[in-house]
Amino acid sequence: MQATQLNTTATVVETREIAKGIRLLRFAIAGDPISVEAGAHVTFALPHDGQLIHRSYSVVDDGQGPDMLTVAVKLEPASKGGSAAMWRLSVGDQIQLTGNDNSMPVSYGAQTYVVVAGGIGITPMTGVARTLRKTGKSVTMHYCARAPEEAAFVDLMQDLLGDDLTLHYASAGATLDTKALVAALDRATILYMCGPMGLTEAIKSAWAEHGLPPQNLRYETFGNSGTRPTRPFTVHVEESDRTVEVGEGQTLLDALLESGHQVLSDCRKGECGLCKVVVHAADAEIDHRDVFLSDRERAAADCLCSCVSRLPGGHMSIRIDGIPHGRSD
Amino acid sequence: MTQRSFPLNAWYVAAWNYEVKKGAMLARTICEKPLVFYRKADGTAVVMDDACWHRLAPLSKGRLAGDNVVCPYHGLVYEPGGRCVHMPSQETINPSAAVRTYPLVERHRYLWIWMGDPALADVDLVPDLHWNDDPEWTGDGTLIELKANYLLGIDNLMDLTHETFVHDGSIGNDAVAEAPFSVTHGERSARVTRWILNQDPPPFWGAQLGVPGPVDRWQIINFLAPSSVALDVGVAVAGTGAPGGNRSQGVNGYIVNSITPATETTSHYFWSANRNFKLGDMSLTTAWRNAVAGIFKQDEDILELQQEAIARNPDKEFYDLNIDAGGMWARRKVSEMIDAETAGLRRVG
Repeated sequence: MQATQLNTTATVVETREIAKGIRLLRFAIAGDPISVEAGAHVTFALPHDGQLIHRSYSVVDDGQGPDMLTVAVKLEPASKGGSAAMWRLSVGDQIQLTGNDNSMPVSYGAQTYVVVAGGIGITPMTGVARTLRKTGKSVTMHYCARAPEEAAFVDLMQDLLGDDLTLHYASAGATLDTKALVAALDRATILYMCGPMGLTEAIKSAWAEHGLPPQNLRYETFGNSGTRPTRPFTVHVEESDRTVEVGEGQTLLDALLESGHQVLSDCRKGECGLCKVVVHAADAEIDHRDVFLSDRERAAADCLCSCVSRLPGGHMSIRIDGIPHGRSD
Repeated sequence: MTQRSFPLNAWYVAAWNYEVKKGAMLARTICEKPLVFYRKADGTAVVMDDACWHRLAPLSKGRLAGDNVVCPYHGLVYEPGGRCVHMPSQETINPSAAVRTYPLVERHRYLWIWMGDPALADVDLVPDLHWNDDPEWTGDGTLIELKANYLLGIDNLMDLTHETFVHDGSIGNDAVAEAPFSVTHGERSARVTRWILNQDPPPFWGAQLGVPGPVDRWQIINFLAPSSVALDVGVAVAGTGAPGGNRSQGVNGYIVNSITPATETTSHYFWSANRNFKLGDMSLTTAWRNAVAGIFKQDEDILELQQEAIARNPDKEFYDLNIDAGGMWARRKVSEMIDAETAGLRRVG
């Protein structure tokens, strides 16, 4: 979907912490109404270090305040400044809305739907589940969180879905059995999911293993959760013979650009593959956080998508030009 | 911001059912959206945006591979749900890659599309145009690509005074313009009723009745928001009770019209001319279709001249006469639909 460009002022009318580390923000929007679909996100221009940075957040549909715009933001200690800036907002503050888009438009063609949310991935699923339920479709939802105090909108989803909602708290040892979930699905079921890398990767591989139609698995990526800890690391760039430090709250792509290196990029969430760089050697295992590289390409460990993927500390040497593209199989 | 003239949360006729075929794509713009239509192998009709997610090339210029569409430019493949299932030169598929699809339902010989919030696309809201496929009626029609806003077409149908001037010699005569009429309205509907009693019929209707002498003539114009008009028209031998409901000494037609916005200045005008007598007379079906096509060509000409005049007179607005009451109710029903869907921050879906 192509994004709609907006230039609209949003005024904070409510902000409160609704779960541990998750803050709800409700905005009144100036000017013409904007149309926000189920699963859609909006982009804000946020002040950060004297500049404006653009950050996108999924819209929450809590069934209330249809004239308001609601988002929920998880405070990421290692964030690129976006979540911290959102957390600093208080009632009356004004910020600019610059875009409105949907990476995961709901398809109404199926009769049976499964919705899977992990952690803050609940936000787009509030609207997806609500709109599917509104059409009278069969909707079951699995919501995974580390612990009850870290789960937002539980009451909301319970009110909406009743027994069709299953909660999975890791703290209670009740993690979702992704293999069993996928094994029980028929080919016509559409599954929507949004959550951390580990959860989405597990469902993707179970989906492929069962030979379900790839178009019936719909997901949205965050690009900020990997399988390894987020730590600073260093890279040596062959072309410039310089070593660049990548901070904890910084992506490799940004570190390269800020140090004057030229690298292409587009989506900045690990989907398009344009920011791929070649890895010559690394003293730690690459934490691939993209969805562009195939399992086979990852296993080769000779490249990474610099917008999201990183090393969990340590050092690697890379090449940023002459990047091979295309199928390697 | 210029307000659009059409609601999105409504069923619009997208095509005659026969226009959308297996193995071929039909490109058509509806409500300012370029769309592509085709049928799957099982006969189900499919619609999606006619612009590739990647570089916006029109998918309708590509080809079908089974039930999927292949982009003519770089070969991206979309399944009927709009999701990309093949990308060139990479081993995975971008999860965001999809083109929009729309609810589509086949009813009364038409394919109906819902351009707004898909969650609200209740098939029970499809306008009742059963005359198109009711076994007690027969008829046929076609499609006019009208170079005018769809509401100008609705205005035209809601006030048949114009028959006297635009359709003189077929269905128009002096009696029409001067006969009184009454106007009623409902939640999503409006109706104009005109009875012309004990007058000589115009040539078309006189021929249909086949009985000389004066007639009681009726024109009952049923508007179904936002863009359908079912015209209940006919004549009966004067004084035989037609105004009271006895049409046994008369002939009855239902001219079914649905005018779908393409852009703000163009429309797809679907119509059919149906009758409930001499059902097996195929030649009569052809004669009716030809007669109405000729009459509607006259409407098309005046509506296009009107649309051009609107463009040439941007400083001027419409004034209304009492003959416009039906059209004004229709426009009010449309405005209510638009207002309802744009009130506050709208959640599509």
